[in-house]
Amino acid sequence: MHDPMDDDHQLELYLKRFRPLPPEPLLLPLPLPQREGPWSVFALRAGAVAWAVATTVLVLLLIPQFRHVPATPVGAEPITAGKANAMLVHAASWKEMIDDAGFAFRPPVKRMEPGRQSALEFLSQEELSK
Amino acid sequence: MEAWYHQHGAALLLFGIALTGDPGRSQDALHQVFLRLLDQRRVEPVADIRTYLFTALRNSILNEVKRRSRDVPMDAEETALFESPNRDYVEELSLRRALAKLPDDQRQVTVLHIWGGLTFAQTAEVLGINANTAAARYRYALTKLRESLSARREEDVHARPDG
Repeated sequence: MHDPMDDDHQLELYLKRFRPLPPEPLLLPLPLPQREGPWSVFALRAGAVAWAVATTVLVLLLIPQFRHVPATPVGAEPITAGKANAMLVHAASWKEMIDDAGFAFRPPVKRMEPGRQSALEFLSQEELSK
Repeated sequence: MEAWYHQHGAALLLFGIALTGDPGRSQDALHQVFLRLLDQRRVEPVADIRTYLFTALRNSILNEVKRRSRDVPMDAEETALFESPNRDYVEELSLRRALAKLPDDQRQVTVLHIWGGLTFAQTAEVLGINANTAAARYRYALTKLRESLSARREEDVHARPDG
């Protein structure tokens, strides 16, 4: 058998059969976050603001309670704790006070022109004679 | 970059050990070279990436040697350097010892030519020497390797009970 040590070429082939061991894995540093340019930051922020405004408008349009806020009747007096307490002192009972409160804090009835009468007032008149 | 590390890492590491005699330092130097390349994010266009990598490793090691102002001889006993064919660890150790016996300049040329796959011209470029000088050092190295390995073989034959 041919001895690999006999000539240079055979010795080279013999040496090449030994493969050098691989190095340890390369530990890569974590990639740094890329710095955003001023324009890209501005565009991102503007987009976020536009999205928030659009969402708010959409919610206000779609949900009815945001569309109509009931107005307080003109001339109606607000019921405060003090007024309710005073009424309770003068009332004969709790129920009576509650009944009276509805009338006491009712907005003043709009006066009609002479010779005319509101339908509501007409209908609310009791015919006690019957 | 990662592909280069996988493709040439083993030969580069061996060359580093041939230069420093220390696997740990070679490993560190090799990592430094690749981390610097990654940090630059691009490599200047080079004709031959293998020659470039070996040269970069050598420069990195030489700079570090200057800082330390001392070097250690190649330690052949401590760490395996090769994947031995047929898992013959005695043969692998014999080769390590034979390489360790070589003068530094001959060992470097041998590693670059045999395991680095560089031509004599490329080897000369990495080491900053003449191509003829590289070839001459290689021939001397082969002669010494042959002597060392043959002597080891004869010792093994005589050591066997049936031999």
